[in-house]
Amino acid sequence: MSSFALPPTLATIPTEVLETLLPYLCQNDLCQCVLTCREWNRTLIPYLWRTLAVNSRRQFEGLCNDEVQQALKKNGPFVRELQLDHKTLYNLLLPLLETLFFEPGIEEHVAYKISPFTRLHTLELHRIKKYPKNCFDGRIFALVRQNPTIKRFKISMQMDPNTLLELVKQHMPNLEDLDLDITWQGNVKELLETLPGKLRTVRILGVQHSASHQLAKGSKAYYANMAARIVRPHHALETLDISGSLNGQEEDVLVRFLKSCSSKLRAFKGKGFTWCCGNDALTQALLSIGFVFTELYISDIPYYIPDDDLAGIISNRPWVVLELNTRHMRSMAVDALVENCDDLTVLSLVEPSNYHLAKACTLTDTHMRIIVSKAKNLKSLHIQSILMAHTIMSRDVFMSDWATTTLEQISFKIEVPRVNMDEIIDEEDEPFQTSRHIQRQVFRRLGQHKHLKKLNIGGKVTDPSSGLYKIQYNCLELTLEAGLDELRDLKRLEVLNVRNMDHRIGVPELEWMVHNWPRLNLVLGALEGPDLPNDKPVQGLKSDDANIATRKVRSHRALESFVIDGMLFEEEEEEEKDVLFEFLKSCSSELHTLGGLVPTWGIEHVAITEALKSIGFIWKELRREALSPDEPDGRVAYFIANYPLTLIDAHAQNVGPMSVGALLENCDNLTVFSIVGSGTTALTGAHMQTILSRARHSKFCQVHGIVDTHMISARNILMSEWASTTLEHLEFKIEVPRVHDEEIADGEDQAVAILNSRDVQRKLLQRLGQQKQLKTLALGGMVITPITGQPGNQRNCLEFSLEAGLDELEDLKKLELLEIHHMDHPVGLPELEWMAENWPRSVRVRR
Amino acid sequence: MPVTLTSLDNQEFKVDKEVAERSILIKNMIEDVGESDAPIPLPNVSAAVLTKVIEYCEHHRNDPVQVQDETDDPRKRSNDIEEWDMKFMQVDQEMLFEIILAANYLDIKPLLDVGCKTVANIIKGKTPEEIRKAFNIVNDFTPEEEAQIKKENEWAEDR
Repeated sequence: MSSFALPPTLATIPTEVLETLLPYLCQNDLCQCVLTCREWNRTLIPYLWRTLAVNSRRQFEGLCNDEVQQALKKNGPFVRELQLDHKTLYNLLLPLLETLFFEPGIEEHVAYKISPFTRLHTLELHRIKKYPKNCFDGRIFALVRQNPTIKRFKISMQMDPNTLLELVKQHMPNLEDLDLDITWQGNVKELLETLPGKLRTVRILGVQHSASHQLAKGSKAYYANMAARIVRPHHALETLDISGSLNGQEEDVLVRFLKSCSSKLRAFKGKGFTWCCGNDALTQALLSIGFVFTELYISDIPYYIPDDDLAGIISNRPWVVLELNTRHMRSMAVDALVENCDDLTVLSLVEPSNYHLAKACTLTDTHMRIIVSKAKNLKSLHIQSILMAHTIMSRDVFMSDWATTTLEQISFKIEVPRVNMDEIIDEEDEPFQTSRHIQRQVFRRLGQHKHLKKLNIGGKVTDPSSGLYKIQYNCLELTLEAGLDELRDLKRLEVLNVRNMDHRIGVPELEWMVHNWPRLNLVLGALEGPDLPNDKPVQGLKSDDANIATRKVRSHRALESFVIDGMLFEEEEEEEKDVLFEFLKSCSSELHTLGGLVPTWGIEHVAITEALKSIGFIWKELRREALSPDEPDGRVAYFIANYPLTLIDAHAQNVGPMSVGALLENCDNLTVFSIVGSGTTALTGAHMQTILSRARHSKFCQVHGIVDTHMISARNILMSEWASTTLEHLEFKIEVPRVHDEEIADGEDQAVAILNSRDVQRKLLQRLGQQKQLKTLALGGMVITPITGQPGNQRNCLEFSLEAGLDELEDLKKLELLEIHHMDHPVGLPELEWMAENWPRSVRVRR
Repeated sequence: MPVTLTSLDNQEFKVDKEVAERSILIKNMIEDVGESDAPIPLPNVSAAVLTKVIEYCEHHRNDPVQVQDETDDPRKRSNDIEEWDMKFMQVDQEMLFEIILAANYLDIKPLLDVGCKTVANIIKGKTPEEIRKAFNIVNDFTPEEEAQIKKENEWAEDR
């Protein structure tokens, strides 16, 4: 960096700096960058080509183009990650079989062409639709053989088990992460014992071990097989995650394999604990490599386990992750927990659905105090309930010394002494001071956990006398005066849940949160507090100045609709606020529509709201036009929470965490709910379910972007009844579990999966079929593929075939438009005929 | 106890040890050498850049040690820069890259991140022409070459 050197630029900075920078750019940005100049092009092309995955039809067609095929030869070596998820892609990108030498009758020599990919680190082979079974096996084999560099391999496509076994065993010497997202039909024992030695993570979705894989002991074949196969060492293996069934062969399958692992093994998830617990040979094998189970989940514990048995399990091992059922927290288990909590990183107590069962729990604040003072590595603390009051007393727990400040997730209810606002006579009052003092202590304690991502202190509590659920009255006030500002260092906070709490969050608090917590993306219940500043005194309006005296305001009693755009207010000039005040007061209750920018002003200025109130106008509509794209979340939320809206039509990015919170509480009377645009929204499928189950009069529901996958899952929809049967327009994407055609031939599991999928689909279609007023049903459109974060077709969607329940839509006699484009559905001639027959209006189907 | 740092152009800077140790490089040097009054030479950083870097470290002297984000998402967000940092990064581009290089050399991860986020934010959402303008780049492609590159790489856009 001498003063004579050229100034540094993006193209000359060292690789490690570039590697830090690039994750902040998206693929599109890189595409633009390589077009700027030669130097940038040279530097960035390798990064642009690093991942080859297709997420949209446009990309797909782009890739099939000849020019790109040429470029592929040149840029293939840059590709590190290859994802194949379509028949055409498999065809296009796998090495081709080529006849090298052919003389009829004399000699024929065929070989696979050299693939342009030679340095793959990641290979993902996804399921593809109908294709002849195993037809790509040979070409996949050829690709893998050219890429001994592969470190990560994921497959969800069925391959011949023997071919797959050979591939993993012999041709992936550098494999570190294996993800068999399939039911492994072959010999589990052989697979495990011959896994490559550098593997660190192994996941097998399901194993189906049958006796036929087992050679009879003592037979010739048995000894031959044993001798031929040496168990490879698996000294790098850290995580093992296997589910499925070994049909009683656990010992035979696992012992030799487990002995081949080393002390690096940290987790044996899936069925591990269930298989090994109580089996001496397996316990011995684990012992020999120094492995002990450190994670215990609810699924590992029998429902009716005796107290002393559970206590035994808890005290016998150094648990790091404990997920327990509250009903199991009886005296011996609690003692064992308190005694053995030092090394816990995750403690999670989940409540049974039945309150009376939860009563069996004997864990108290005193225990909690000991736990937090001992568990020095705790990252996640989730307590659904503590006996009776179901809260944690602040005094006991928060005033004691905590062993850790590294919590990332907190989920429990906190009880503090509170003085009711109307009881306060003097702020010097002792109970009031005490309450505030304790609250600040609690906040300070929480504020020390700078890694906190999720703070969940909301939720109803049980009233000890009646056993009924009620909102929390003795809880944190969550105001700046009460100490919210102690939480200012929680820069990683993403989720705050304060539902069902008697807190006093107001606009200043909301603004403070947005300002201080840069990663916040969901606030639940922020606007349900009783003390919202509804009626701020109107300022600057009393000035009976000369102007008004001389000018008489005409009455506008017949005005029904008022729409105006443009600039009205200058921040500096207070009087400007008066512009509309007198005018609006001159109108009457006839006024029912306000448009243009008036709603925005209404949100901003108390004066306008006041004037409208005086003539009996109530905001019922929140329209997109009134919201700027960067409208503060708190303001939108305030609007939603304080007016009986029947129409909400907003940009996706306007619907932030607080708005969602407000929305969930105030959706009962919505007739129109429309969220458009592809911006980031805090709204999720679960929220949609709540809205649909509460909005009794909804006619129009349209949601373009839902976070994550941009879909609403069928589970959410089916979880509760919809409140309305009057929907006329329904537009969003629904996710259902799907089994794709190519898997159908594979065993009973799949058959069951298909039945399950079909069952969900039929229920869903039944639900849709109840909406007899429906004119538009639009479920199509691209969604974000979770793995890549890029748009693609919907794979897990309704099938829309008669077998899958299309006939449930028989009663939609008013349907005019059905949009099912970009969806993986097999709508064929019979379906189209059925639609023509059953839907009297000429339905347009966009496929 | 103050520490003396010497820049490339031999200017000396006296800063608190706590501030200097925001740089892992300097922290390690101090640990290796032990207590000493000898100035620490930083032959890769000019006085102008070092002034900026020290300003940053002064402001962030009490920040907790950053832990690695263990998010699986390879894409990171660049819109969470703090207000002070954002103002601090309002410098000309040469200085911006100099700060990034210095942060890399001195091993000040948070500063490196903020610098990279700032550069990313300049690039984001821009057309090639706008990027050229922003970074003072001369387009040295012929129109044919540019069209060719566009064709070859267009598929990668995820729109």
